[in-house]
Amino acid sequence: MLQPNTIEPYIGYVLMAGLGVVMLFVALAVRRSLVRNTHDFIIADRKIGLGFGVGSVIAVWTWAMAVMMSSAQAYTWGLSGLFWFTVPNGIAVMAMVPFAIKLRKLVPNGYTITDFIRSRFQNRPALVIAVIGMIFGIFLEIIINLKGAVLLVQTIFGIKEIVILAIIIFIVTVYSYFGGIWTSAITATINTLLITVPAAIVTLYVLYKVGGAGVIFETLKQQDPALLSIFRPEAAAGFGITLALGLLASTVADQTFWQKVWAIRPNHVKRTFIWGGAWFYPIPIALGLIGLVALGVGLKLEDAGGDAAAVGPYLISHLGLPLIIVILYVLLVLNACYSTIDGAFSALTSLVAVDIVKPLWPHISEKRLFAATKLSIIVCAAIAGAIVMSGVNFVSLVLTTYAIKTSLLIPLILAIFWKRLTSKAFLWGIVLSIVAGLPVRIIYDELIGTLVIFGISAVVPVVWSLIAKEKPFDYSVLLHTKQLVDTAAVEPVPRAGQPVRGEA
Amino acid sequence: MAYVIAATIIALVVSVVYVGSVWASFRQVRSDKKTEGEGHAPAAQSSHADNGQNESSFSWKALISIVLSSTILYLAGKSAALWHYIPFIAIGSAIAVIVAFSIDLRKKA
Repeated sequence: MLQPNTIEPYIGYVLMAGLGVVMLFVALAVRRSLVRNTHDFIIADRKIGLGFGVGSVIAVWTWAMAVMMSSAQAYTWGLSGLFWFTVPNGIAVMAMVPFAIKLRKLVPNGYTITDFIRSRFQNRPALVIAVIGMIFGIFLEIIINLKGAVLLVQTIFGIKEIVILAIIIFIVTVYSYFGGIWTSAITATINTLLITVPAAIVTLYVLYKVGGAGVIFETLKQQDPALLSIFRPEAAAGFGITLALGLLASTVADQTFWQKVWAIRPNHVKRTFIWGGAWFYPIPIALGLIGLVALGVGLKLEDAGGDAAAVGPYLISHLGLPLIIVILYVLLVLNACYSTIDGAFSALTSLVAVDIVKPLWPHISEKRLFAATKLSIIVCAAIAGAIVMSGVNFVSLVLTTYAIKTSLLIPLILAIFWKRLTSKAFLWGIVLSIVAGLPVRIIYDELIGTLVIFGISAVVPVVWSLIAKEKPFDYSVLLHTKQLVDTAAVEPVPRAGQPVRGEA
Repeated sequence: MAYVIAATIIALVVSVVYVGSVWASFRQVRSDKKTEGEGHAPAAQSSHADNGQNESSFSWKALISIVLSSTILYLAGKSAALWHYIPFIAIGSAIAVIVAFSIDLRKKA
């Protein structure tokens, strides 16, 4: 049933560049109409509505790797793999709701989650760890999505890795540079259309091409009936539980989502994340069927290069599908890649402006703050590109980022909801859980390491705070906390040829 | 093939409405921005206007979506008949975004 891949590489170049040009056009239009200052750039004047909110949350959460991993987990574990991959993903987005609502009440003019940590604890080491965790997380999002796009384009078009990386980094950096979170929200909403609609058509065509769902269903039933069950305990133990815990940290301890919490109109925050999580579900469920088809037609993992994530692209390019279907699939994954990287860049700008530049240079002019914010995108793209292109094994980056983000989760939740949590308890909860949990995770087992991190990061802060008996924190002071960029950021950015305030 | 044709037709219609909704919402935001005028209203004004205190942290919709997704996956293991309908719910995600835009525009009207 599988056929040789005869797709020309030039199509890959056209798709990568063409999608980028369209997004750049949108970004420039958005930039001209909606972005006047750093405040617009990093927080969209807190005016993002439900439509752009839901559209962008779905796209930002749909990573390029996730599109392919839904097929990969279905291929590896059957429906149990798809179940354990899909369900925790949606829950992770919806889990943002209680934290988002609470923090939006406590800090209505917030910008970043790390800014909340600064205001809540006034503890520099705790702030530094949190900022590092967020920035590492952003790097990781970018790198993993680049890797996903490389895997796709290489598998289908055979283009060299370094060329793919250079094109994609250049394209996304250029269009992210021009618009900030408004661009990110609007382009991501368009990305959502280009992810969801092709997902349906491509999957249905694949089913048609292999002779219908019944053929695959019967083949799988003969291979192993357990492939058609969602209750295989091996899938839960193999990756499901670890993934579920890790995903919670990926949203609640991630500035990409917190930036949206403060950028969306307050009355839409809850609905945006509930809808975003709920309507994310159809994407991996639909694409997971491609993994089951790969199993059914007897695709060998070695044929796809030994990487289960490549199963989807390999099947799509070796089934003899019409070119338009292959193009739709490639666009689907590229859209997922572009929107997540763009969202990560946008989150980075808010961190850089609020948590790095403003604290270091409190009297910086709006013009320079805006320039520094945008420059951070280029620097981040250059570093991420260098890491991926260098070919270094970035497992240590993945492990460190994962450990910091996981260790942040419970102390962060306590910081939001428990007024007795002290700054030292917060700090040592994070530090000790990393110090003890990371080696366990590396040496012994991913699941045990994760549980150790969660356990220590929960017990230490609670016990420490109860013993310390410090005066409980008064959350109402956060309402009156002066925001770092309120004074400068609402000043308009001078257009070319216009004098900057104070320079005239 | 009938499923593919049906999905393509629905997808085309949904795509047109979706792009139209994005455009209408973008124009709305742009005109709001213009009516704010030359003034650059500080964020405090918009964020204090309604800080979401009417929102509870629990949503039965979240629970329904989790149960529904699990049920779809469970039923997919029971019969192949459902497999041809599952991809259509991906188009449902795009329709949900259109509904979200219509709520935005209705509130503005």
